[in-house]
Amino acid sequence: MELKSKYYHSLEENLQKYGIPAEAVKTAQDSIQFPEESTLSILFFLIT
Amino acid sequence: MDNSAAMKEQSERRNQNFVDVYEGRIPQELPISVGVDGAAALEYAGKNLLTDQYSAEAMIEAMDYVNGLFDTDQVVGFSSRLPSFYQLLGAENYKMGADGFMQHPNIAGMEPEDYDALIEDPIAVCWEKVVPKYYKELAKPFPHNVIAILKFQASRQAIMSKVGPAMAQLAVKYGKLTRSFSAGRTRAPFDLLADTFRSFTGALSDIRRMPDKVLAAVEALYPLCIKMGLTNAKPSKTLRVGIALHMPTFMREKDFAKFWWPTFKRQVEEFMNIGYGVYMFCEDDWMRYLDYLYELPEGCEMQFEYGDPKIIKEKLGKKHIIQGLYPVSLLRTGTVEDVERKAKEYIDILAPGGNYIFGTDKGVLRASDAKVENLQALLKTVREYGKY
Repeated sequence: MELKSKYYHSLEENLQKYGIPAEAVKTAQDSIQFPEESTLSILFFLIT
Repeated sequence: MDNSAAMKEQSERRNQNFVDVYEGRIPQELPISVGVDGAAALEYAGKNLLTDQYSAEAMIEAMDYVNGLFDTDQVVGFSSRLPSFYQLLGAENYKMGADGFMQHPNIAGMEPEDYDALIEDPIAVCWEKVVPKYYKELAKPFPHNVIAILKFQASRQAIMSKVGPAMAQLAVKYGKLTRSFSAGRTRAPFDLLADTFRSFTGALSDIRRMPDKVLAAVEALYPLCIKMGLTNAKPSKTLRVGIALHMPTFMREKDFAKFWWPTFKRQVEEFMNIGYGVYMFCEDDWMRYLDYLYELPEGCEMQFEYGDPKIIKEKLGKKHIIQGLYPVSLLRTGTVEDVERKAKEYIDILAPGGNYIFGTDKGVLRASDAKVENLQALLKTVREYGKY
């Protein structure tokens, strides 16, 4: 089930948001999407 | 065999005992799941809870001490809920008590009028409502809030960059588990609603006052609860998504069946369909819900706090992995002989046929919860008596 929020974005959405070429979907997992996932993990720590 | 080779062999044997149970085989020896909290470790090591929880070095010394003292399977003696993290954020949800022990007050992260926003976007409600309510420093305007969260993250990194490697070294030193059997930790959707957003009493009141909103909210929280439990680790039955179950025993069965159970059952099924195992801690007394638990996919690990071990074994033991039940209170009040007798009693009931991990009804939170000689006797008895 997909997680939707104005504060959580998929890699594809982030590439668009930050003006990164769509072809970078293969290379931007660590540099772009990891911080998104890591921020969500921090949120989980804060709310539980 | 020199000591390090013996410890390596012991680690591998203990790893295998867990793997065997999780993969549906009878292990050579009972795996043991007995936790000792970070506060208890500091106290056993003679350290000061008020001051030493701020020092990674002091906590590592305490962990070294308790892991040598107690022959547990897991490395024990650390708690991730450290005061520095919460004090840097001005936390209202975790506060240090007068004796240094961390307390968790029951507070509501949002008001009843926020339900529609929660149903629309739970993560937004977390950032916009819950976090500022829980953390005074994060409710302040920019740049104070950003500076506070950067300090919090730096503190976590400073502690964990030392504690993480130290725990791995202690596993090798004392022949404990060197494999991780833990995937992520999450909550049941209704428990998350109660614990984080509406408080224990607020959630129970909302069931009566606005049942449709509650049902919509637990559905909205479902994807978040799935996400919380997932990790990057390759799915495996030996990797367990952990879920502590809080609210059911405080609910009427018809409310449990309507509001709590459906999303939880679906959540467990989804984790297991992905390929993970699930560990759940059934807090309090779940005897009236055993038939529900039976419905879950085969191979769930269920730690029980209270209940009749014979009935639990009879109803669930062929399908699920039973854990827990051994009363920690006996480690405080009993004699060594009482502790040994009770351990054999539980093993005689729960071990036949496998599907059993020896465990206590709860972790040892404070040193006063368990006399050293009693916990040592318990572990020794399970090692000697718990063989197949």
